[in-house]
Amino acid sequence: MRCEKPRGRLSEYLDGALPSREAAELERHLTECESCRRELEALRHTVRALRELPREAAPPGFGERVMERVRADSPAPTYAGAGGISLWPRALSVAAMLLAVVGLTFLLERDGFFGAGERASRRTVMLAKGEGPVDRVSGAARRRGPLEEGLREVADTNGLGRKQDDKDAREGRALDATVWRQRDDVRRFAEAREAAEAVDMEGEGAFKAVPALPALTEAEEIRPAVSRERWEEGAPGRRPEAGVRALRRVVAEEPSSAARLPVRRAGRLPLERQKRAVFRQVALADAQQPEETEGPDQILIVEADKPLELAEKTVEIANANDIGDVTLSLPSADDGPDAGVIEVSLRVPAARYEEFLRQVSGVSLPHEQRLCNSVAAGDNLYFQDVSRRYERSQAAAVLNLYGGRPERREEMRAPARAGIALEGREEAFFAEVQDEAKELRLSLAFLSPGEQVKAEVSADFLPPGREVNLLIRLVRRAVPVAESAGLPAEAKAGELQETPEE
Amino acid sequence: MDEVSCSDAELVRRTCRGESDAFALLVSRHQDYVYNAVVHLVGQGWDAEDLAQEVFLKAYRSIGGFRRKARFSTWLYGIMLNCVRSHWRRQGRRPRVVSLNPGVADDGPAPDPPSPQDGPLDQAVRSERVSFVRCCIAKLPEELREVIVLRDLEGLSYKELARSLSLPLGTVKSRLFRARRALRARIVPVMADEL
Repeated sequence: MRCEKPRGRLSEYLDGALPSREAAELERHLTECESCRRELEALRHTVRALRELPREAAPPGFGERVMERVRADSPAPTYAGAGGISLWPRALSVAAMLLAVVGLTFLLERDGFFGAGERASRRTVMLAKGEGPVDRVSGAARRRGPLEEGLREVADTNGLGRKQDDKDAREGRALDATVWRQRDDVRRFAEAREAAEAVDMEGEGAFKAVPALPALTEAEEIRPAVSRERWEEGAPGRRPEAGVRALRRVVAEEPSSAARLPVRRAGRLPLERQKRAVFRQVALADAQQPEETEGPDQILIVEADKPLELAEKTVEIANANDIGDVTLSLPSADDGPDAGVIEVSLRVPAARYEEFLRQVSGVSLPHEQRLCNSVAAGDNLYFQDVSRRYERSQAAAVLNLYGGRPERREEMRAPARAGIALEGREEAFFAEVQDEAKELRLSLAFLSPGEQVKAEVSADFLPPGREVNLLIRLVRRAVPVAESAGLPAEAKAGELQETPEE
Repeated sequence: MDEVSCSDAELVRRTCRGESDAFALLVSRHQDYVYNAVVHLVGQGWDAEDLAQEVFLKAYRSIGGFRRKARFSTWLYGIMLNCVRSHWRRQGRRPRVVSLNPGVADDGPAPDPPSPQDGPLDQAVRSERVSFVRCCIAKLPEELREVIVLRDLEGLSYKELARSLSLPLGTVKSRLFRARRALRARIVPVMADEL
């Protein structure tokens, strides 16, 4: 047996990680090959030298310094509760009520993301604030009564609004159960699972406050629980706008509010309003420059006429992308043509912005999506109309999702050149092409060491033929290019073959 | 709080409830190996402690995302790697220049303090050997340094390595092999008679 293969296995063999058959084979070779035996010994000595290195302990006072930073970064939560606090009216004790009053905070965004002059008439409720993932879409108010009521309506409406069929009360339960599971999958909070299991579907519809996580000290989550009775009584004819109305009412009742918010009329909105799902990107002139990202955080504003569903989904995606600050904004009468449009805005780190956009764009209507061109402070980021992106080759569009570095923009435009763009870069290129049922999914991941950006292209908007072929050819071409440049590259090609072009 | 009996998962749960003492306990449990790993990855100096603190700060911020069925250390290693990689990106990809003179390592951890029973010659030899090995580690490309530090210094299993590094197992094995081979090429010729 030649030595190349056995040598390649020595490291695993040292760790006892070789399957027994291969280990036996290697050992047979070692009995016959002195050179490999010497190599094994050399490796063994090397590993021993590494493992005998003295360990460095954390310097004295390290723990205290960490906790100082922790406390400075995020003050302790203001509530005293531990575990879930039930706000069910029937069972509510005085102590629990006090806890609820103390624990809920109502925040009005001050200048916020919109600047002093712009959008001054809008009232904004901060849904969540923090560095970590957003917990849930929720309202938060210092005064329990009106907001709780409003949120109850919001929750009921939101939960019931998705289903028109009121016949089967179990569907209501199933709907909520599904919502819980989806939330768990996306957000991965153990408390969510526990709280979901604890939801009592038989009781009166009410809220449960789940303790805020350390990163969320200014917003308390309020989780709706919908009972069977509520479902049965509430489903038919429930107007989606009722919840929004309730929220507006709450905000309007805030003593400091000078703006009067119009109450939206019930009924369906005009078609053009319904189709308005607009992503507007606003550059933060005074945004802090995070060290790790390549530009200032961007504020993404998602507007929709079905705000709660969209807001929830947007927050879910925010969680999956570790985006913290989420704001729900309600328009006032001064907003003119924008009246009636609800905004959810999120602060998105620049490096994640494109990927986040791509995910959020899948939430709202695909038509008339529009991303307003805007230039961030400095030339760190660029933005393009989503519609233009769709028109261009999907391969280039997908590749443009990587990094968002402006200097790459030119290189990435033509997919045929994308392979060249990979040369000489210190990244690994990983591409996976797979065919799932009737859909084509192409994942391209660009790896900086330790970093991975995946972009998925669905067949829904990727026409077969030219673009797909380009993508496949790109993948096939990029891997040897990367390898010849001495970069680690890994590609998995599925069963896809290039299709004859139309 | 009974320190001995509280599992990491329980401490995480308490941290999520706002008990900062619980997090302080987590820090004290895990600080040494995090610091050890950071120091061997980025070198000694204020960078290392600052980075190590950053690891725990990030852990605190995202502690709600910790799945309690996983091992806390594996999760923490993942956060540590992200911090270290960000640090490397900020530093640029310049190859590290390391002095091979014993005790003059401008990279890697400080020389090992002599143990009392060693004679002066033994101390010098040991110190030199440690510095040398650490310098060799510091000269590895970063992605190879990661696997060596986590596997041979921190003792992670292959599976834990794959999880912490977010790499397939095959890639982990291949990198470890390359890393050990690179170190062996440097270490064995110099230290053959001592090993």
